Amino acid sequence: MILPRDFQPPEKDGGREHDVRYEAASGLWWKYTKLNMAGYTVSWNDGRPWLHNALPLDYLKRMLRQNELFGDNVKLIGLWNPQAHDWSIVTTQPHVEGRKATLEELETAFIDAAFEMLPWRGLGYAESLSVRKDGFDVWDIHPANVLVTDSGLPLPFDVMITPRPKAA
Amino acid sequence: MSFQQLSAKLRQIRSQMPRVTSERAYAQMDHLMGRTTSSDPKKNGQLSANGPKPAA
Repeated sequence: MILPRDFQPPEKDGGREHDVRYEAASGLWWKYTKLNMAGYTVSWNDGRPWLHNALPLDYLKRMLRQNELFGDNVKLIGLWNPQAHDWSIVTTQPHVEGRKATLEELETAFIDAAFEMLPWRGLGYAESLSVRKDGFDVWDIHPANVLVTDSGLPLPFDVMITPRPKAA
Repeated sequence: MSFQQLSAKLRQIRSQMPRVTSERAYAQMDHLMGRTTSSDPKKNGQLSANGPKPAA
């Protein structure tokens, strides 16, 4: 679970949460959380959601929910300590292909899949959407994080997923 | 559609994804993130500066 210091490093900046490396032979993205980070998550305060740094356990729960709710196959590879006190969580995720959707197309796809639109935008990417379904809230719905399949289904690959708050 | 049904459909779709070259995979990532190259921080996705706001 603890990866060697000379473990193959990421090749590209993958955005706000990860650095990445793509392995063509396996079709897998190797995703490294930014050093000493575990992505972001959403919590609630006085009935309003707010975005903040996630704890490692939050991040791992998010990956489990991604697999369970959206049919993905994210796997935990281990923890990488490339230097000094710097740590990164390393996972793999299969590549997905698809057309880049607009925010409007994403909204339609989620509504058609029986999600309820939430009124808050911008938790994550600016203008990103948020939705609710069956006890879970999904955040940071944006063309950079969700594709739409040929059949019109939303295909999320990098969204935040949190349990619906008890009072909501 | 339940999550169980959606997940099963998406799992099937994901299982049929073609293998692509690194060049293509990185190009798609850059395209989705709205940047011309993956090393261009000015075109990188930015967190919303002012926090969440209700949809119009």
